[in-house]
Amino acid sequence: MYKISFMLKNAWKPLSLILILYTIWAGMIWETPRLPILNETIRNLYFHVPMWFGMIIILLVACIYSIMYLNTKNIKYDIYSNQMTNVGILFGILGLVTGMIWAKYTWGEMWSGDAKQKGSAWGLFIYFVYLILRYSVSDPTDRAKFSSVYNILAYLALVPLLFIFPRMQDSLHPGNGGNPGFNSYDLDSRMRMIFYPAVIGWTLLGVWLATLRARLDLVREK
Amino acid sequence: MTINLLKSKSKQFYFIFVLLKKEFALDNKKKQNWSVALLYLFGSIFTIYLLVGQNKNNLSIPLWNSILWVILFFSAMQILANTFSKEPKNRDFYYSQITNAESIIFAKLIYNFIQVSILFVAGYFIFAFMLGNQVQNLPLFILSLVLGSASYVSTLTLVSAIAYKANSNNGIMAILGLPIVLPTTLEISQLSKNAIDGLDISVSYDEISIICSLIAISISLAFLLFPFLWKD
Repeated sequence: MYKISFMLKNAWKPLSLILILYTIWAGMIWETPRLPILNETIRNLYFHVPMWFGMIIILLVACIYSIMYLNTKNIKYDIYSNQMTNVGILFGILGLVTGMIWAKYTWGEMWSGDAKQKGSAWGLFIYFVYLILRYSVSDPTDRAKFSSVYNILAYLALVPLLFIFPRMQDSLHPGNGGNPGFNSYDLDSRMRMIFYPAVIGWTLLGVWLATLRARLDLVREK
Repeated sequence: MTINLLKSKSKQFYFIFVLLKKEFALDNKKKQNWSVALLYLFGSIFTIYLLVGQNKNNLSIPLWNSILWVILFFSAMQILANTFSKEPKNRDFYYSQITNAESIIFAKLIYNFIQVSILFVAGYFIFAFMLGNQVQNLPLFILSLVLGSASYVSTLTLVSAIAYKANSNNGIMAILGLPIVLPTTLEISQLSKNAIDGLDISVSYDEISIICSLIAISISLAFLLFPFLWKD
């Protein structure tokens, strides 16, 4: 059977699954506050927003790994950075899709040209180009160098697109057209109880996925 | 010992001048870069002119603005793709022994800025000649062209370095550069629209400050990241 130290070191992985299952169950069953326009779709908060939070955190970690690769030239950092970026892109796509599904019921159409939608779609496009760059170079050292540099550039282009650019325009998004998301949600403590574990759970799941793929890549390198 | 002296800080200022002179001389020898860029500009504007039709009132102001910036962006891309590939083949090693990477990128940034500013102003005049001049606040418009060239140059020089080192064809530089340049393009087109509408400069202080800070971020990033690309 497994050793106690192994179980303690890897306890966060099943924890992420438990948190996600809890948020799915609680998110659908528990009561939510009634707000105009939003009504029941406020439950989207438990799924759509953790995707974006997870994406930002994971892409930040990937950017930091890129910087560490450029400083130390240890290929391990580049592998971790690449897999983190892949998972970040996956979360971004899921966030965009959940947002579009929500928009169909709340705003009436899937794509309404809202500033945050446009900014996030374009930010995702930057990372798709990262994938193309990664596939187009064959030498591992060169590939690591270019993708690290591009990863840093891409993250620093993503931040204004997601945060600064939508604030400056009128937006349909709840909580925008001025201030950050949560004040106008009337986020009561019941929602917070589901929302924060959702963020933690999805982020941990993303990190688990990334580290698993990275370890596979490391073994393949040898 | 000699190499250390050569790479000392005071020498670097002198080397930047030398590298700038070298860039001018290279382009003078091979006039091909400039002629291709100007021809590309003229060709695309002429195509738009034919597509719009004889009636110049077909173009509303936002459309005029957007088409102008799209054409200017792609012509800047055209001319910046040559920044690193116009050198003879093995000179890179020679330069890396003589100067540090910061001087090289600084010289390239300055030279590209001069090139692209001239290109943008020329492009605007050709565009206005063919498709009608609707600009009411000309000094602010020229300022937006210059700021636009600075922001494109600061990001696209680094991107062209990536494309050059990756030994790839020209297509990848366009696809690498296009998404990164978008936030600045949005601000600059807003600024130039203000200039076309004839608004006073005080209305546009927001946009100008955002553009200048984005330029500062891009230039500092280029300085930080270029040495990693340059050293083999």
